[in-house]
Amino acid sequence: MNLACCLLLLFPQLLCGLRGVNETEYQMHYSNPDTFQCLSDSSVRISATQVNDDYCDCIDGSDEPGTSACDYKFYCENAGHQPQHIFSSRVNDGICDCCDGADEYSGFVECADGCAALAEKLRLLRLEKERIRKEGITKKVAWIQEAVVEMQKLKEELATLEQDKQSYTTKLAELQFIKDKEEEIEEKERQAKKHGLMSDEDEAMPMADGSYSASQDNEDEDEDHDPKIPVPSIFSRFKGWLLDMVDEYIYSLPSRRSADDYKRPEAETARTNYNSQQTLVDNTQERIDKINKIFDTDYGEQKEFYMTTKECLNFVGEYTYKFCPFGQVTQGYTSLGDFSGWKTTEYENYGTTIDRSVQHYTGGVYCHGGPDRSATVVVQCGLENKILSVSELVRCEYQLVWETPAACSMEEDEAASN
Amino acid sequence: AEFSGIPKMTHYTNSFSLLLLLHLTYTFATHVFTDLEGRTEHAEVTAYQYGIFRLRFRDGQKYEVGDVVVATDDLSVPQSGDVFQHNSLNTVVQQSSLTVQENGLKAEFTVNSKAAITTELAAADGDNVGVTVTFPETTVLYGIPERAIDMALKEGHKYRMYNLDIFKYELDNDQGLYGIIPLLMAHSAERTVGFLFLNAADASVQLESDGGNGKKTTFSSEGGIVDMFFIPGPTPLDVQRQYSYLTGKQYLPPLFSLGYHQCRWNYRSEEDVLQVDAGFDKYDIPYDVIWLDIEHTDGKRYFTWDSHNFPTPEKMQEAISDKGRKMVTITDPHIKRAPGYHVFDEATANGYFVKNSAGTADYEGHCWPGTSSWLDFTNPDVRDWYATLFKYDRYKGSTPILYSWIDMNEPSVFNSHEVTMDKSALHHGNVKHRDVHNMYGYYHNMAAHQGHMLRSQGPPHDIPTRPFILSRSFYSGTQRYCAVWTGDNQAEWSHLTKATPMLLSLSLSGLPFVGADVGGFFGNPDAELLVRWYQQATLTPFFRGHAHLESKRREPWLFGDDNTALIRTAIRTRYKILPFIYTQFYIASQEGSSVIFPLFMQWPSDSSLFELQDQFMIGTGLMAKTISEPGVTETEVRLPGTQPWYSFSTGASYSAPAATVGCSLQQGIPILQLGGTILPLRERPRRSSNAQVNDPFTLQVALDNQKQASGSLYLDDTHSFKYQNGAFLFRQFTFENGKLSSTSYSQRTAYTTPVGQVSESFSTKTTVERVRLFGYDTKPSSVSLQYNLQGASYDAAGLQGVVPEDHTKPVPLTFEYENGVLTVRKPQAAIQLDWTITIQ
Repeated sequence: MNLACCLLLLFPQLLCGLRGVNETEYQMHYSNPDTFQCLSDSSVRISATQVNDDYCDCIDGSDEPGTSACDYKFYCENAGHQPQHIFSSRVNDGICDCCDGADEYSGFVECADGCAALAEKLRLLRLEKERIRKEGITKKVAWIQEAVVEMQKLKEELATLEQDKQSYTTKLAELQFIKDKEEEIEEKERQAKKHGLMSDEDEAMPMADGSYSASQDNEDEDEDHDPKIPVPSIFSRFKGWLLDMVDEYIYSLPSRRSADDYKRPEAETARTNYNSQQTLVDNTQERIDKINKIFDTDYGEQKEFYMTTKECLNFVGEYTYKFCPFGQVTQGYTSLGDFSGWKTTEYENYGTTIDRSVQHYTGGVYCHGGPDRSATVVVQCGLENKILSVSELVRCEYQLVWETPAACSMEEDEAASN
Repeated sequence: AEFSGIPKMTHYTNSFSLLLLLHLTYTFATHVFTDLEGRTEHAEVTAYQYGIFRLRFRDGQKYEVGDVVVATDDLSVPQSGDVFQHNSLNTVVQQSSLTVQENGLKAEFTVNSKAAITTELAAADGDNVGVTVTFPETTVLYGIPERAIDMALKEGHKYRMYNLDIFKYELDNDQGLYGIIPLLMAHSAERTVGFLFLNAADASVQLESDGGNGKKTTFSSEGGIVDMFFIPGPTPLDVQRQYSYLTGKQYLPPLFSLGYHQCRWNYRSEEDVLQVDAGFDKYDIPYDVIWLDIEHTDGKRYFTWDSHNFPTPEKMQEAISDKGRKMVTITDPHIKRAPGYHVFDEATANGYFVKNSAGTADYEGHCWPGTSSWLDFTNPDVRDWYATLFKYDRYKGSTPILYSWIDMNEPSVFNSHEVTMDKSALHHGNVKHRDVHNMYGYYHNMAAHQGHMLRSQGPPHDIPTRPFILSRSFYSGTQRYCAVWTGDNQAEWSHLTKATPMLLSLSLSGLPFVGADVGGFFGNPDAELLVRWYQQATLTPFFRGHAHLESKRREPWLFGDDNTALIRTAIRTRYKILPFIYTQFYIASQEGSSVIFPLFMQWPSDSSLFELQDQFMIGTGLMAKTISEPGVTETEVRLPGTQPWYSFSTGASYSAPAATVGCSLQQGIPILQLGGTILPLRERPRRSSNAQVNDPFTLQVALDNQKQASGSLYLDDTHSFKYQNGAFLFRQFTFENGKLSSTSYSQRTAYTTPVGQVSESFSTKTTVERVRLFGYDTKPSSVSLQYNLQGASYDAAGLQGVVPEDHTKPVPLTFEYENGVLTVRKPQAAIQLDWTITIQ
């Protein structure tokens, strides 16, 4: 910018540069005193007097950066604050858009120069934000450290669990072998008992090969037993129920009961031992899965969000909501969804980026006439771990704003400090 | 009453006939007779201006529809025997007569000595009344909206006239929907007549052939009286204007209400409202009004706010107002039965609710708030009181930018037969609901309108402002108070398709300010359907996007950048033609015409247009075709008349009788300008109508075969009633012999509302920034502007800097000529002054 220009900053539209463009744009495209080439079609040359003459000559609108004649953009310098481009549709529309009021020069409205005040307001906001950030990262750093410790513990626990699981599984196989053996004996004894009793009372003949099918026997009885319980066709849909009644009746016969209920004490012990070992294996696996899930979950680059999983947050608005980070969101007793991941954006050829300022919770309770409930959680830096608001912009799609030190940036806002 | 059983009363059997010339006004003759049950009835004939007759049968007991007919009969006319005459004031030479025989049992209405309508009263049966109405020499009947059917009514169909809230209404079902205008328009290539059946009970019309080349209709109703109006035409536009003379012309809406409206059930909170508002600015899409549906209230208590989601409604409205925009809140006629709620308490204390059949207690039913009662708007005291509810000190949290939406006023009662009020419920004056049913919504229209008039009578208003109210239910006369939309449609191509005939049917029946919800209320439109819907609706009088509570969000920027751009273009088209639309509304308010209308109304003798319902006119200059299926890239467009048609956006010309027009999603639906017309446009993108008021105009001139064209522009302060005292500009643009001239509009028709006392004026510095001519054959050698100022009309002080000091000399202008389109650059001609642009 030359000296004359600087001196004439007070009257930019008249002498220095061009209304609606910044210095760079001016030097690049608009400084020719005779002609102007439309920016997106340099074959169209118009007289320089047609630039900002309040009539749209270029198809791309570039000849009217300082008026509302085209669908284009207008630059406001906003001295004392930040420069910006606004839509040309805002120029001389009776509403002050630029803080310096440069967009309203036709006199339809008086715009006060609000740049200094706006800058001050933003500066204070930024300072406050930076103060919170700085304080917030103290907590965040502590959480990161705690997470490191916790993770180490979990890692160790996992190693132990894997070992335990192996020995528990070996032991389980042994106990199964014992159990199977004992039960084989038990079954033989039971069959013997049953046949003996039955020969006495019912004179039933064993099959020639010595086998005797209890189930076959039962089936026969199901169909023929006890004419006092008929199955009329109109009750056919109760047939299943009636058959159960018949079964119950049969098993209530003393002979059958005593045979079927037979338990060999050694087999009982083997079963108990086996079952408790199975439970031990299952519990161990469950814990392993849980720890692996923790390892698989994205708690942030430094696992700074891990410690937030330790407590659920309540929010009382029009309804009462409960938010368990990385777990579930509920409204009263209704699930609004389980954690399904951070917001991701896929770029062709560039892979996927993760946005750790938004979380998704999906698969909540089905909404009558609509989709399953779901929630989006907007994550912001704050001193405390709390929910700021819950809204339902579309029916059954919720939005929560969650403030947590875990979201505070480690990077200093230099502009705020200056 | 058994009229046929009274032959002995010979002194009443004399027939009489009235012969009227156009503009014959006020006469009536009464014939008294006693029916078989001993009741006295009066067959009463009234004559109105324009050759309109009324014949009704009164007994002083039965319910009669009141508050609808506004025509006054205060002119005395020369009388000679049974012949009443008045000198014709119009160029349309026409005679009409009504001959009544057998005490009114039969009547014949003739126009220019030709039988046009004959009626024969049906034998009465209890409270039931009926009449057979025959329209000889009639090709097609239109009217009796609202129903989701084709525009032309069909023989063999029975159309019910009973206002109902029908959930997910079916297309092509003859049932009546939310409102009724009991007007038939009987049309043939030779002439058009109208017939109004003023009755508000559960009624039907059966349509048949008359055995010849006409139509026979049978009206029957469960209550009220037979009250008939015979409307002579002879053109469809005449019928429309004559009907408007009877029931009132379209009120002049405030300009903002003709912009785009953004609605949803529901914008959830103040923050939500402000975010949607910011979205329009972020994407540079113009809009004027953001709406709040029932959820904004405290438990569906209308005139209150949900304190959790809308804790600071004034602050929210201030933020919207700062951008020059407005808001609308809903207020339904059912009142939650909740002691402590001021509306309920006051209505209870004053006995303002509709009563149960015994008259012993308030009628109760279920609606949005749960157990509710319904305000009895038929009672003028209730309307007076209801009006006060809109006052700023009564409606806490309301500000002058807040307007109203009145819904569910059929009335909708969830737990009652046919989802409406029990027919035995009692209204003011012991009127049974069955007799007044179809008027319930109309009286709500009146009450809400009265409320908005009342609230702007004092501070913070310096001057009263024009109301904007949207209603779902309506009756003849609603055009004086409200806009109407077609209710709960669906996000289906079939519903977009049917929206056009539905809106045309309402328009031709004298209700011009109508629209259908963009995108469809129920369901979720895909991007193509939504874009097509915007492209169509941007040309319809009332333009609002709306969606159901369970629908996905569908603000214009949620369908990807390409679709955002297409929707932006569609909505901007609306703002571009807004000066033209506003002018059409002004004309409708003065002459009783409509804003959009079917093509047959402009070319009434072209019988190939009688059933054309996917094309429509916007004013007499623009025409559009609805695209109602996916994947369309071009379409055949009917081009009636003999003049050329031009693409509105490119100026490409097309010739009658038809042409294939490109209409891809990117090109938009076909919009054509008729040769011979001039459209005033504002082409600069803006964020609202308010932000356009200082913008210059483009005059788009489409030349006819004689290289002539004409058009008009109406301008005022956009919102007050000062125009009634002369504070407006109405400019006439005429192109002939290579000259475009601007003069004050002075054309008047027989229907134009007389000008009141001129005590105010309207002035603007706005100019014409561009004249675009379609159909100009050769490149001109020069173009110049010449002001024609004869002293008085030139306000030198007010227009300093606009008009050159030496305005007696012609100003040379620059221009471009390409592909038959001549663009005159920056004439800077002051819009309010007389001037001529000469092209040589």
